[in-house]
Amino acid sequence: MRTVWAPRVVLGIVLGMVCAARVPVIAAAQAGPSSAAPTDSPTALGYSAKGADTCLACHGMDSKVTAIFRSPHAQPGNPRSPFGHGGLQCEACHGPGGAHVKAMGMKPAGIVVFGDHSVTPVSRQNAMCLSCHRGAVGHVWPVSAHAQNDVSCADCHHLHGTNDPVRAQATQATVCAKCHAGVVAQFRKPYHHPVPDGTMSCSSCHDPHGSFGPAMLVKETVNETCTSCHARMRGPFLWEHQPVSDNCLDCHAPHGSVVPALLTEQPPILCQQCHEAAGHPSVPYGPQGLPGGMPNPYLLLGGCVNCHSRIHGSNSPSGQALMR
Amino acid sequence: MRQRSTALRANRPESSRARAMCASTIAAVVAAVLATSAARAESPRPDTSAWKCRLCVFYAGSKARVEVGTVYADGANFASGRYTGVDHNGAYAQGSAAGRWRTRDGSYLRFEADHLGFASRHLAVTGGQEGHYEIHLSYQGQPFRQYDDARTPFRADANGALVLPSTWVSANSTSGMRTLQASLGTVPIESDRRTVTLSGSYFASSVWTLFGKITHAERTGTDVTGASFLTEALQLPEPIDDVTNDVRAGAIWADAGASLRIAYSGSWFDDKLNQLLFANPYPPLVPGSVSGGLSRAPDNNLQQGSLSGDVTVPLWSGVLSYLVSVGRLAEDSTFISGSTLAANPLVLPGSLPGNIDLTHYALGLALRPAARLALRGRATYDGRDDHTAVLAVPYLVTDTLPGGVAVTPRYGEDQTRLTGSANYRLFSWARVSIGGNYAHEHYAPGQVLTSLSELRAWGQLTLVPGTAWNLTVKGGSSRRDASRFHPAALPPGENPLLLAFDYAPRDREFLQMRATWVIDARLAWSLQGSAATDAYRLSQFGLSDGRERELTTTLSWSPTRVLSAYLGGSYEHLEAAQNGLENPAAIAWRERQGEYFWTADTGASWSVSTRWRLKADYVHARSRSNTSLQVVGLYGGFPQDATTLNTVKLDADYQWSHALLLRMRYRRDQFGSNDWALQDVYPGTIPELLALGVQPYRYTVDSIALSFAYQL
Repeated sequence: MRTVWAPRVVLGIVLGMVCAARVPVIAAAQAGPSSAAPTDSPTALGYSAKGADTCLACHGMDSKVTAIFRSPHAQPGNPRSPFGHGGLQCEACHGPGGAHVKAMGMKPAGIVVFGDHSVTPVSRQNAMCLSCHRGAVGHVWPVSAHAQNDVSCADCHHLHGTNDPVRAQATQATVCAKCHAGVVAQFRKPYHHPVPDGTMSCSSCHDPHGSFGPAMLVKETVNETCTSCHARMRGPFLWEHQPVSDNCLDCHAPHGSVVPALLTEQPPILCQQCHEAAGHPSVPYGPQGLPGGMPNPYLLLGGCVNCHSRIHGSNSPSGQALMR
Repeated sequence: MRQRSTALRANRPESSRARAMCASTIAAVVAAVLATSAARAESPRPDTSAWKCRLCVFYAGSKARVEVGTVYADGANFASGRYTGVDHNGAYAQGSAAGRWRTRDGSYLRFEADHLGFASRHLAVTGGQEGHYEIHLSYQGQPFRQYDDARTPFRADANGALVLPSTWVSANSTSGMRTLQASLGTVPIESDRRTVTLSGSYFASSVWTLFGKITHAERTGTDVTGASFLTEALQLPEPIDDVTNDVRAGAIWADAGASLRIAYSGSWFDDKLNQLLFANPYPPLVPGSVSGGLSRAPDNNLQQGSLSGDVTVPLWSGVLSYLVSVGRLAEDSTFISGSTLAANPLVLPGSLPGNIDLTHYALGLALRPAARLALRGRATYDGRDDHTAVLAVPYLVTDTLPGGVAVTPRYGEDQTRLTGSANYRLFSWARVSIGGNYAHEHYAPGQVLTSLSELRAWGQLTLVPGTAWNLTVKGGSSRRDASRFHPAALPPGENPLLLAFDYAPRDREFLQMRATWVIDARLAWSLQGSAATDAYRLSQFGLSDGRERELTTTLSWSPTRVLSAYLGGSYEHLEAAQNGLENPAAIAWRERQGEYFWTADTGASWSVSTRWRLKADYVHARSRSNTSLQVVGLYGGFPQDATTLNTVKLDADYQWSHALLLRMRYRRDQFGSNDWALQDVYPGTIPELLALGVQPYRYTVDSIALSFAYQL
């Protein structure tokens, strides 16, 4: 199979390029003046006359504004930074501010304002961020669930300071909880991944900037995400357990559970959702099998897993029932 | 075996053709759009040579903070310190540090260290030059303390095999093992994961970035496992000693109109142990059955290559995102012996070897045909193609009896998902959205189903009547259908009436809502909730119905700049019912589970003066789980499983001087739980299962911390 698709991909690329070359009309229609030599006057293009100096003349006393000079966004030595050589400084993100200056700052006048109470549409806010960050984080963003729900970059990120809580493992969950409080509450269940304890974060499993995987997972499938840490589960085993190769969530609740091992139900009840009898009768184990009655090895402790302990797969030749 | 193998192969060409077409189509579309986009011009840029930035206060210099102190814990155990490593009573040294240094030319160095003194310690150093390169090195410790009350008669010998003491007296029942109590020794069930990561980025030009990341994670410790000799079972402490190494490297190209990312990732898992040998504490059921052998996870490696990115399309401000990823998961570990029985040697292959191809293709398109309308769609294909040879393997049952010859099942599947949505802004304060998903999963031959499909539709209304209010309501339904069930594909002995819950045809209705109300600058309230109802249409057996309810609320209050408080709570109710049957001729039974989970939390922060700052938090969380069983009119309820957590945290900070901060912390954690699966099950409780005797988690921990933080 692998030898078949590769040449087709190359062929596809070539065909695509050829097709594209046949539609110069579109390109020509959209072509404007060259951007190679920036010789236009800033004010003629709607920008302020002096760039950041214009902005700081009014906003220079606001510590929230000047905090940007401690952040990667304001690094004169970085050609990719808005404050790098030839950069548009404040107006790289906030857009041309000429009209805002003319209005003596009394009106936003086209300025892009970020944050909770912004009058700027979220799509425009995010477009400013993505104009620089699309390669590193944003290439799936436009079709992500966060974009779908009009989440702005500033809803999660501090754009001006050195400390961005959402990028710190210990504080990230508090930012996510603003919208996902129900999920964060599940981490208070007795069995959970160590997110509240600060050794994992939401982004250990989820990509908030979007992915093609379900639930914005960092990998394309649930199992590839889980086994990136739990590599011993990924097999391939001589004897496999079908749900293990299909979907870890068939049995596990990753955010939290009241059952050990993050299981969705107590064994053997969980196992009996699929297995009615496997080699031995799957009787309805009742409370008479608890200590004080006739303690039942099929019911107590791990239930079925007491014997079928290689539940994620076995590499023993005698492991066909996942018992070795 | 031969038939199944042939069937697998016969299915591949069609699947391969489909994927090849899919790949070439994606490549063609992406290439076309890339080439078209490249011809587009950028908007004019102003001449900024006169922008001198004289008022800019670019930062250069260094800043650091060091904190040292001690924590004293009373009442700590493995349960309370499960993820922190504060797992025993006594004093712990603690420390943390953070700092950054930056020069005018953009060179920088940052470091941070947390939880020093604990197994959950974390250290990270990041350095580089802005716009040129960045290097990051980090260490993360992840303790996992499970049980400190496990007791077992087994000891590891020099070869790592679990053996019994020489005084051991075998018996068919744990109550007959006369030396059991005298032989028990405590074994900590705990593990530690230590992860070291080295990563770097090189910003080769304004559009090119090269990146790489190497991760080394090792895990050592002990876990619990089970084993059996036919009808007699035992729990064992199983050593953990494995390493996972990951490498990821690639390049990103991005400009204003498109981005492209090409990456390679490799992951190698290595289990240092290849099997766990253990003695049989019961009298052998057949001569020679005096020990057993459990296999370990095979060493494996996963290697993937991917091409992804996005491109602006010359239509309705569109953006096309794409992904092509191919990879292979492989293992070729040598099999352990098929049995410890010397009298029953099995003729076996030496190793599998296992090969699974993982393929992902995806396309996403976001369009904005009008200022008020946004359209989004995605199509993804995820394939898991198991090329592992199907083997016929002779086996023994639990190192006791010959079991015959079994054919190894191989499970492959591929899933196609289509997702689409439309958002329309009715007014500046109202937005309506509709959307849907269709997922189709196709299973390789040899499984109980050929395919599974689910269609989901939803609608959403978002109201933002001003900056104070925000309300979102979303609702919809889904329908899942399965292909005809193939009982012949089931393993021998399995009930042909089996219906896996993940396969069962299901109807789901769901409703979600989220509301926030910023009452004024001092008071804000939020409410989130969701509800879902599942009906398994054709489930005569397995899950028959389920319900989920969830509600979360938070009230935040900041009456002054120095005082803030919050009050919150959550409620969750999960309910499911399932039907069972021992075999087609037997009596049916029905089981119902209900799970409730509540949390309540409150707290306040008060800056009393310029020197004193006080903070208090309280969390209450509890769960209740009820399981009932009904068998032809007889009703049996299990004891209620319950957990209760109460946490009180009191913090006081005293600013001794401009640079020196004194921190005092008090924390009380109280946790209690009932779990009928563990409760009162000691090593000798179950006649035919020699247990470790671990009990449900319970603790009351008081901890006091005193530390000094110094600002350099």
